[in-house]
Amino acid sequence: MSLLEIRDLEAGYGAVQVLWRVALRVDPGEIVTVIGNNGAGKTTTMLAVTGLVPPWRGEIAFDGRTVHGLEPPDIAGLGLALVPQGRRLFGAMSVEENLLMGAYLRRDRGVEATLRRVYEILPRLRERRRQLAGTLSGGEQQMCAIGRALMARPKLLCVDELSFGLAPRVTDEMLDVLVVIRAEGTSVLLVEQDVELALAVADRGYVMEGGRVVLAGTAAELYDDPGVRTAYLGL
Amino acid sequence: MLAAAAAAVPGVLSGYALREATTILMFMALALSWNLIGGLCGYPSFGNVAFFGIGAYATAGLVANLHWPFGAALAAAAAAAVAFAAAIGPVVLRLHGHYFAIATLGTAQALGQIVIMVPWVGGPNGVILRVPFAPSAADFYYYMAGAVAAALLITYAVLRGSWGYACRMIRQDEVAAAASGVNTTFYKTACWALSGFVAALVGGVYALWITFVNPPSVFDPVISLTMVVLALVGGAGTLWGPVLGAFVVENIDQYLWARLLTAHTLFLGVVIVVIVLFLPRGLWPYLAGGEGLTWRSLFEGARRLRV
Repeated sequence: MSLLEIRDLEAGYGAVQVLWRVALRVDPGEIVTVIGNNGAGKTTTMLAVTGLVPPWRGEIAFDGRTVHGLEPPDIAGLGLALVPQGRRLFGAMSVEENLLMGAYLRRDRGVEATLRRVYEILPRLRERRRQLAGTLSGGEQQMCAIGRALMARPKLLCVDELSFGLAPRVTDEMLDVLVVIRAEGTSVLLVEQDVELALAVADRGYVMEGGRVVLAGTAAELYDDPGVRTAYLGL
Repeated sequence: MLAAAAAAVPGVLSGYALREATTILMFMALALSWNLIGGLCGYPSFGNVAFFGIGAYATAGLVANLHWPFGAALAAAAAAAVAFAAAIGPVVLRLHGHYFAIATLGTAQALGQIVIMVPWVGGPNGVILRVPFAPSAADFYYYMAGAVAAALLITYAVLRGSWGYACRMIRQDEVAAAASGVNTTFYKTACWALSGFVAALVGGVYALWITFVNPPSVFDPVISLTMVVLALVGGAGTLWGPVLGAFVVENIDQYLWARLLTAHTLFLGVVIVVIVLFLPRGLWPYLAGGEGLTWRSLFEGARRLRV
């Protein structure tokens, strides 16, 4: 059974429709990427999944339950964590406080252990743990945002624009983190403008244009697709 | 210690000075009321006088027209303000920043206009309260002190534990808070209702103290503005900041009022500008010892503001 299944999703802002009959799915243990240009509807798709943009029509099922129409905190409670565009850290809190806020909904005793694990995967955060999140560099902020999302021990991690504004070396480090967490059983939905990077790490991918999914396939299939090669890879 | 000192005040002061002290306590409680929504949640309400007015009017109406005992009337008034906050909260708290500020300002103004059309509370003429056994000046001092204590307890209870963290997240990034699982609508509305509860208590006591309410006096937008200023001067979002802000500003204000009647409101304006420019976090962080107050820190404050 799919972890996330979206069918015929339509959504928008005010009177402006942005998504048209979007369908995609993420299976357990998969990294799935959504690629496309600015304005293609990638972020809106992700925001609709997390409940931050209310869907108009269609179905969104997460872990066997319909999440259509639920509020963001309820969807988060089902095991879906977001690394939002622009990081959106709690700037006046320390790195460690930010991480603990990610575990806000958890009532179990394993929070300490998850914190230790996050520090293992992202050792820079341990060095910076007393520092205010607002004073971190861009790369460190992205690490903190990923760490915060992981603290919820999500089944699905939604990452919006992982590489935005990051040095290539830092991006590679972040992609390695995604591979590590997939190995530990967390699926990833990755929205990304850097198509080459996204396809290097993803199992499958969807190409969006003008609010529609125009192409779907495994990462290798998309990489070899002539349209993708000319439009996104510049080959 | 502070409580003991406050309790001893009516024995020492009398007449005018006791009245001034009672006024300062009233503004402390009002600043704490604003702090619950404006400081803790970062929602700059410019209409908290609405709750003050509801408290004053409901108390006045119930005591003067239905001859309720003061305590019962006050409790009903506070409940009315909480109900009003809970009703409009989910709507106005969808707005942020200036939009929220304007919406709350407008709500308070509209309430003042609506009250003028209600004959039960005297329409534009207001209500005169007469009670058989009027409390003494010292009693009113203790009532206001009780409101301050209640506001401090509520703020303390909110600040500690997961509720406090929810508020801090909402204040810093509401989208991230919601995505992290915080029921933002609930916590915002709850803080807004508690803010209304405190302001209504103060309004009810004020009504009995002054013995007369009318729309211009208890729906005066200057009261809303004063709450904002006092909390910002002392330190918004902290437990003691609003108390400190009210103490400092009201004392200076009363000192100047007695000596420079025509120019004293100018002072309030200067205080706002200076505090916002140089001490964006208010006086409390410096008094609490967390930070040293130096010329450099002042200009750091001004510099950060421009970013």
